[in-house]
Amino acid sequence: MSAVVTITAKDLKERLRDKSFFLLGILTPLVLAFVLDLVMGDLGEGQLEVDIAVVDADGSVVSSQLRAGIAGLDGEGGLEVTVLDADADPDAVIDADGYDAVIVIPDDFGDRVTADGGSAPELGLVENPDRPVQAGVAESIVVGFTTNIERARLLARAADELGLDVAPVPPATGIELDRVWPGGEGLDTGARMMAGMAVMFVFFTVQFGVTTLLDEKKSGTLTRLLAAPIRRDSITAAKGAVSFLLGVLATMILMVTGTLLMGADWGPWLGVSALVVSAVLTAVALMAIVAGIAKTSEGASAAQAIIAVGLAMLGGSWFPVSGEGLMGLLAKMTPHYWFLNGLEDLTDATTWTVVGRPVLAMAVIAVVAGVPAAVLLRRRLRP
Amino acid sequence: MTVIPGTRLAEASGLHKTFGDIHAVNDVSLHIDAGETYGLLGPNGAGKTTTISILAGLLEADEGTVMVAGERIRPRSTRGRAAIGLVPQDLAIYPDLTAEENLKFFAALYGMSRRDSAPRIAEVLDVIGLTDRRKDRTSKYSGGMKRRLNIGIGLLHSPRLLILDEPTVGVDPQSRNAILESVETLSGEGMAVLYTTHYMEEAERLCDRIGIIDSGRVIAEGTRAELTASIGEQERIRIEVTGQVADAASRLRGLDGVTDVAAEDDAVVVLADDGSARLSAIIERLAGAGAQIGSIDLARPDLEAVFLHLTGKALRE
Repeated sequence: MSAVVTITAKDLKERLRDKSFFLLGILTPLVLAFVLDLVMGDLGEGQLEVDIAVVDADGSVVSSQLRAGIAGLDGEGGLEVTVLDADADPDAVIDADGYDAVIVIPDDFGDRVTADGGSAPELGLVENPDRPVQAGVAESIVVGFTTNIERARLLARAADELGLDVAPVPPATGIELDRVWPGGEGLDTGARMMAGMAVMFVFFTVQFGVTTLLDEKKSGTLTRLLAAPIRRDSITAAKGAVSFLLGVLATMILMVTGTLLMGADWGPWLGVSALVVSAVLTAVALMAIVAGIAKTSEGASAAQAIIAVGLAMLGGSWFPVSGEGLMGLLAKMTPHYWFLNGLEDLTDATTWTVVGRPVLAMAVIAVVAGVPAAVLLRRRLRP
Repeated sequence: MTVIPGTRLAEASGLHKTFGDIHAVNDVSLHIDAGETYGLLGPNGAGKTTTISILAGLLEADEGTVMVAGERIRPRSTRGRAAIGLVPQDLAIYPDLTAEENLKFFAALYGMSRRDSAPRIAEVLDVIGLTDRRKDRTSKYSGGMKRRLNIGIGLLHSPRLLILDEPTVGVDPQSRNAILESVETLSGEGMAVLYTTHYMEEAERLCDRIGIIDSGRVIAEGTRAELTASIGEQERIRIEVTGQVADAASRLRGLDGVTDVAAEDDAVVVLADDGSARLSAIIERLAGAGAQIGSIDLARPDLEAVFLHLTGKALRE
């Protein structure tokens, strides 16, 4: 045990003297989180703001009700709705005024909805290509309205056939704007970016531990360690411990920084700590496999960078991912997905124990990866 | 440390080690007594480093045993390791740590308490001449200083057997002399030393006994006097030539009195009975082969001549 502590202390001293830990483990993810948040959303305000416009090209009674319904959403859930003239050009106003999207009520809208045997309602949507997330919110509003109108239309026709008198359904019924960020419910853009970068960069940070086994082999110091009166497993245990400690240190610094600089509210810190520890353990196990296979530290670093970025994209560090379908299945195999979803759950929770499922999922990944990693690293213990 | 000179300290018996098709160590047996410096002399690739890796417990032998200070040495066991100090051929130091931090780290790894290690570290720093630079990171050291620290780490825990694997490779003459003096001092203090080198003059200066190793086998062993006596009164003649060295060397084979011939990069090395008397015939034969002759060096029997006699190869081939 003392050999593990001795080697761990030595490695930590080396790593903390080496500025690359601070640069790669803390400064880079911090800057990236800020930059991405500025590009993608509203830093620190805690809500995604969506600026949409409505063009009513129909001017019918039905379309004016719909237009009023959409306009009624103004100010709700970060939405800003502007009603434009009937002849406004959607593309031109997006270019000129920077709307995130323009909802277009077509000129035959009223007729199609009210005509005997009419068809399902259709609304046009012109999206701002530079604001995909906000445009996605506008699209969900359009879908919500058309669904409700179609439901009302079918209900009215059925009532008419049955000779019943049914009150008309207001067009806005059933529209929900709570879930504006498809990957989660509780985290705002800045907080999510910070968490995403933290869990992505922990994969780089843990390299400073396990990959040094290859550096020690290259420099010849591994020969000295192997010649010392210590158990060989102490060497790999120490490398794993260094990775773990540096990973936890860097991630916790980023989470605290998120709170202090971005006002991120992660929820109970016990839950945050459990998620961080689990994510770091998983990262150590996965990166140790690479260190156990690679022949040189340069090769290991290159492979680890590819894996770190690939898993981050798959797991939702850059953009939110759905938990459905094949992509959802792949996402669930990454610690990033569970870490971010754990934080989402934690934000709205009253108790830290809501992270139980994500923590368990990450523990399973850590064990599945950790066993072969330990075997592979032991094979590296040769002069 | 109480050392009784002459006590058998390390013994390797019947060591074998293969890597694929290569038989790197082939039935090597040797022993070293306390206070004795044993030299393992051989060219690059002869099996020296593999042999000492087995002796230091870094590698598992396919066959054979190693005993040091009464303990069986094996890679998976820590028994007996504290009795061994290893100075690897490569510089095995941490560049981001100071000399003092490097020494403290290895002292802790060898189980030395802080109380015991502090005076010992100061002592070692003094021996290797780095007391004034002990607080500097070793990345700022010269090559010679790094080499000295490399040796200092091996000495730190006062091992009973010190294994030095070609410690003077790439070292300037001044540092090299300092290293050789340190080894002489340690041996004089009763430490058993296993010293591998391909420099004949180092082996002749330091070693009480020498094992000559080639192609994984110890082909001769004894004191310098015993080894040189084994080849009689043969003299070694080294002739610098330009032109087809290998062709020139082949012309000398079979010449009366010439027992061995080897070609180096720019020289032909000849082993001959009564070499002085054969010199004119040798020069005549080389000139006939069209070789341009530079300097000629004629030496009494030495370890290089022994190696040439035993293997038909020059030591630095």
